Parts: sequence; C-alpha cells; structure tokens
Amino acid sequence: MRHSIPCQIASSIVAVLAAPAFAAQPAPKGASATLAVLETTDLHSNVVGYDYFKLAAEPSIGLDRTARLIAQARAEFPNTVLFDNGDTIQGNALADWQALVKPLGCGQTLGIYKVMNALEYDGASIGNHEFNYGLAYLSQVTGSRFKVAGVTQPKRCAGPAFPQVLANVYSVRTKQPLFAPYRIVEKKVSAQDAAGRPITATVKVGIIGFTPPTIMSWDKRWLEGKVYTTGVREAALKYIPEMRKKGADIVVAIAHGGLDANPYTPQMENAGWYLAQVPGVDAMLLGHSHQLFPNAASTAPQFNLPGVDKAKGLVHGVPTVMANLWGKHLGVIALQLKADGRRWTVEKEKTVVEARAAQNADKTFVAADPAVMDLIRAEHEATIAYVKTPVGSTDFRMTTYFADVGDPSALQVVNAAQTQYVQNYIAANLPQYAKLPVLSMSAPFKSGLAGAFDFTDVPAGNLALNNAADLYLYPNALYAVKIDGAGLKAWLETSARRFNTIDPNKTTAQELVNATVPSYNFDTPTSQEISYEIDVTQPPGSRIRKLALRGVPVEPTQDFIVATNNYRASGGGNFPGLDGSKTILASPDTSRDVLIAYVREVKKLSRATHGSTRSWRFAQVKTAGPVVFHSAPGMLTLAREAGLGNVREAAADDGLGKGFALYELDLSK
Amino acid sequence: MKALLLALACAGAVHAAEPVPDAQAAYRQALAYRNGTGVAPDAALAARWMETAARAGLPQAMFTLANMLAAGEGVTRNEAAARCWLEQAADLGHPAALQELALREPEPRKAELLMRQAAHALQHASN
Repeated sequence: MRHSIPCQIASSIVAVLAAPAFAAQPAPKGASATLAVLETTDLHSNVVGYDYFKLAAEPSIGLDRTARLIAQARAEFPNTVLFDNGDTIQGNALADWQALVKPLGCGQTLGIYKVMNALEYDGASIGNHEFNYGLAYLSQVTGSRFKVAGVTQPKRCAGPAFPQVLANVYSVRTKQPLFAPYRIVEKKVSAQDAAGRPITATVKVGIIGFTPPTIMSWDKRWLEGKVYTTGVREAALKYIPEMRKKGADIVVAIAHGGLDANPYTPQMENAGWYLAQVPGVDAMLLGHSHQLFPNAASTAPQFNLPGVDKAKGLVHGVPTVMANLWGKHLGVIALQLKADGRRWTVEKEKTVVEARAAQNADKTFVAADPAVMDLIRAEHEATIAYVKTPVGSTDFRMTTYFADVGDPSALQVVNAAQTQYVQNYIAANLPQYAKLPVLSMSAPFKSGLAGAFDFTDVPAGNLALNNAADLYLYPNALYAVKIDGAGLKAWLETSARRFNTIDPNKTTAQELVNATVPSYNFDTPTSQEISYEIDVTQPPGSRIRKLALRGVPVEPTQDFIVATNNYRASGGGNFPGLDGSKTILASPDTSRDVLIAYVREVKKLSRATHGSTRSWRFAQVKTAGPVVFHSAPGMLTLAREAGLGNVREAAADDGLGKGFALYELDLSK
Repeated sequence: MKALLLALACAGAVHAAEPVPDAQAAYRQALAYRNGTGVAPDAALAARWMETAARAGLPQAMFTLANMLAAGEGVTRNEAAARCWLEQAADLGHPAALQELALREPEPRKAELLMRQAAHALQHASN
C-alpha cells in the first residue's frame, strides 16, 4: 500500500522523469505482474471542489476528491501508473487568477501542478485548453522553453515534476515537436516469477500524447504562424514504432479526444476510433468529450460504433477509458503483464477497464482529501478575493421580482452592455450595417421557479464579478442577428406568450403569467429607441401593438440588428426565424464578460441611466375582475421605485405554500 | 455508419431527402426552405433537408430539427423524436442543446452539470 495515512498525498515528490535506458535486467521468462493505469482528464483547474461564482463548496467535482480514488486504487493494485489527459490548467476563476490577474512568477508552480506533483503523477498529455492563455504562459508553467516566435524565455521556469508528452504539435520555427512527443517511464513493479515467488522488476511504460488539431482555429490568435499540427493518426504511426524500438514494453496512448467514425482527416478532433487501429497501442486514455467510458448504459452514438465495446471498455480491442470531467471519475485500466524473457506483454483477455466515480451509491460524495486544499489555500483564497473585487457600483437594487410586469432594473444594464458591444463591433468590422438600428434583448433568468427566494436580487452598492454572474446567470456568448421588422414583431410576439389571454369581462381572478412559458424566453428590449404595447386580451401571436422605432411605426421590411446570445440566435426557445441563419456576429466573448467589461467602463450605474427605461407596457384595458401574479412578499416598494404604479400586493401569502405573495396588476392604468 | 446509427437512434421523424455527401449543403438548403431565402418557403422540404443534415451528423441541424419536431413544423409533431435529436446534438457538444437540456432538467445538480458543459462547449463551438 502506498499511502496509509489519512492525508493521501505523500509529502515527498519523487521525480519519475524517464531516465535513459540503463542496463535494467529484463524480467525473467514467465514472470507476471498487474499494472493499473490510472487516468484523470479534463480537470479544468478544479483543484478543490468549489464554485467560485457561487462562493460555495461544490462536492461533486474536484481533484481533492479524485485524490481519494487514486489512493484507493494504489491500495488495491500492487502497481499503478497515474496519467492526466489534459485540459488541466484552464476552466475556472482560479485558473484565470493565476494566468491573468496575478500571473504566476517563473519560480512558482501552478496550483494544480503542485497538487499533481504531490499526487506523484507519472505523466500527462496536453489538451486543447492548455493553449487558451497563449504559448508564453504554457511554456512557462509547464517548465518548457518553447522555441517559437513570440516566446522569449531566458530560463526554464518551475513546472510539473512529471513528463508531459504531445506528439502532434510542432514549432513553425524549428519544425520540432513543442513537447517531447513521447516518453518511456521506467516503473519499478512488484511481480511474480514463473514459480509465483515475489520479485521486483521494471516495466517500461511508453506514453504518447495527442491534442485536437482543431486548436489551430480555436486558439488561432495565439497559434497562427507559430505552431502547426499533424493528424493524430499520422503522429501515432510516426512515433509508436520508435517507442517500441527504444524498448517500451507497453504503449499508452493519451489522446485528448473522443471517438468519431466519420472519414478520417488529419484535422479530426476526436480521433480515438482511428488511433486504436494504429498497431502497437496497448491502452488508450481518452478525454475532451467529457464522457464516461466504459459505460454500458450509455446511449451516445459514439459508443455504439463498430468495434466499440462500451461495457468492457474496448475500442478495436484496445482497453480504453475516459474519466468524464472535473475529477468526477478516475479511469482504471488494470493490465495483466507477462514476461517472455525479453520484454513484458499485455494479456489482453485479462484486462479490466473501469471508470470509478467520486460519487457513492447513496449519492453522497467521497470526502475531499484536505491535503489538497492545504497545498493551494493561498491561491484559493486569493481567487475568492478576486471574485469579490468590485468592478463598479449601482445606486439601485437590481431585481426581477416585477420583471414580468415591466421592471427593467435587472435587465437594462445587460441590454446596454450588449448594445454597446455590438455597436462598437459593427463600427469596426461591419460597415455595411453601420446605418441599421441596434437593439438588444434580454430576459429575466430567475423568476421564482425554485421558490420565492429564486429571483435575481443584487443590492445597491458595489458590483463584483460574482454579481455579474447573478445578473447574467447562463453561460452564453454574445451573438447578434440581422432581422427585419416582421421578424422583430414575431420575436416579441413569441416573448409575449409568457402571458395568459385575459378576458376583460371575467369577474373572477385571472392569472397573468403562463407558467409553462419560462421566464428565460421572455425577451425584452429596454431602450428608448423602440416602443410597443402587449395586449394580453388578445390570443398569443396577436398581442404586439404600436411597435415603433423612435416614435415611427416599424415597417415589416425594415432591417434591424439585435444583440442577443448564442442560445437564442441558434434556435433556443424556437423563436421564429432564429435558427442560426440570421447571425451576423458570433462573439468569442461571453455575455457575462461583456457585462463585466461594460460595468468596469461605466463604473457607476444609476436608476436614471440603467434602471428605469421601459420599451413596453401593457395595452390599457379595464377588467371586470382582478388580474394577479405571484412574486416574493413585501417587495412592493421595488415596484414603486421602478415606476410601476399599477401593482398592489393583494395578499402577503398566496396560500399555495411556496412562500409567494399574491400581487394584483391594474391593466387600466 | 454514424449517420445510420443516428437515424436508427432517433426513428420516427420525417423521411429524409436524398442522401447527400455534403451535410453543410443539406443544412443550407434546409435553412433556405425554412426561411424562404432565395426559394419559396416550404416547411416540409425544410424538415426533410434538416433531417438529412442531422443524419449526416451536423449538431446544429439536429438542434433545429428537434425544434421542428416539437412544434410540428413541416413534419408530424413528435416529442420523443424531438428529445432524441436534442440529446444527440448535446452529445456532440452543441452549446444551445446542452443549455436546453439543462433548462429542462428538474434535478438541480444535473441541470448545473449540463449548464457547465454548455459553458465549456461554447469555448470550442464553431457556431
């Protein structure tokens, strides 16, 4: 057993860099050994299970829990090797803080690598997201010295204590691979000789890494003209024979990619299905597509391809594992090895493949290893402080309690940020649209679905990064579409399905909101440019009245640019005509980042500038009975502050048992 | 092969148009018929071309086809087939499909996971 103490991390770091092949005696003929190959993948900087936007522990993720699974596997198997598949250093606020906010010093080791060093990883590959912060950063934190344009590094910086391999990315300048394409890790193992007596031997474990060649378009701004890629299959065919020649007993292919049986091209992103067919691969560690393999219950088409055994974990007979993402699972390939007097070979039929979950059968999670937090406590706390750092301030409370009846307080800043972004983009890049009006749509993302507490509610005062997550809940990117006046009206009509059809003559109470239409599909503009009325006495599809641009009725053929998000622009909510065909801007920037940048620039948000502009109101109608809706109790002051004089609180408890109050809307006002 | 498996997995949809080697071309054709750009709008033809593109493995076509099946647009309304195509699109990392599944997921932790996957997928989406 390798670790018996409660803290599963060994305090000493054992360097396992492949030594040059010294005169190790080959294992005697007939000897046997069990070697478990362990995989983590797509950790995405989730060192500890923590949500940096909610500022709360998140027990379902984190290497601090995978550490327990690693310790268990090491206790269970006599010999293990531990590899990481990549997408390791990017993906949360901790990663951003270390890369962008307080860039790591040359002598410092990146938080996640510190922990991986302590966990005694034997090697790793490089994912596509490793390139997200640029080549200079990657060169620094991996302890490399890339010979590529734009990277000047006087000395090797601190990095991981384990080898990193990548066989299909090359420097344009040197025509050499950026990282070592492969390494041969000499692993001391406990084995048995032919008579079953315990012996110690060495297994030469060759590792070779691959990343999706598509990095060239995903991180074009960092990579173009500096590096180039080759296909995964080409790289495997080139280097695996070389690894064998240099004495690798077994070859473990660490491919940051999944399975795809479309015709092979050197640009193929998920090349695992083809890689398994390259001769000489003994085990395959996959990643990138965030799936669990083996998984007998999976309905994913990739796992039903010919040659794929999703129950046993085989791809064309090659034992294969993919350990999901964020440390939720540990991949385990238990190889049975046999020596023929010269080298070790794998007894394939005896191999067992599993992906082990950090979640127990009773839905609880294995305990986090506290030693992990101890190693990165300073970075973790600094990240929390960073997330709490004010980027601006607001003099009014920004809420969605009355968004359904017209309060723009939580929406207007989003629309303002989106509008400005798109206007700037058009001015710089799309002169053909320079004369078109730019509108913006946003919807209240939280409207009490989970209970009376479940509304957007950002208090007046400083706005920090985590408040931006409150104001823009979903992980969207900013998109813009070009539509005509008819399309704009159809969009607003679809939004207005949020309401029930109100019969003005009915004397009993009528519910305003159609709860089957989610609030996130209630898109509205909040600008003085555009104005309209919603007539809820009309059936869905015929409710938008007096649609006007700067007071002039909108013509059906008149063109508009509308800022929105990728979800809506690509067809989310099935809004008429929005199916990707109208998109003129697919920004790489997230809607949340656009909002943050805007608040940083504007600094002070006031009710007058960012909390009181309404584009729409209900068409006035006298109703015989009350029109009612539900929101959190005691919030009427907020409605008044938003200028909504037509709302009153009818009952502090609506009697439905979920903590909501009943409010009444006077449609005649 | 993959296209065939997808078709088998999401049975009960429309009859696809003639198989074409170019999924992108089928998808463009589907959008043209759906939106009446350059051709007279034809929802039934749009659905047929959309399914051709979806069967050829285009996640954005799968996502739109799911919308069309759910709405009965140019095709008999079929919630089960709609859900199936939505899940296939999500499996292929289509951000809006992952978000849609997240928004519809009643179990908060599962919804959170899907939403995070949508966030991740967005970082290397081409559309």
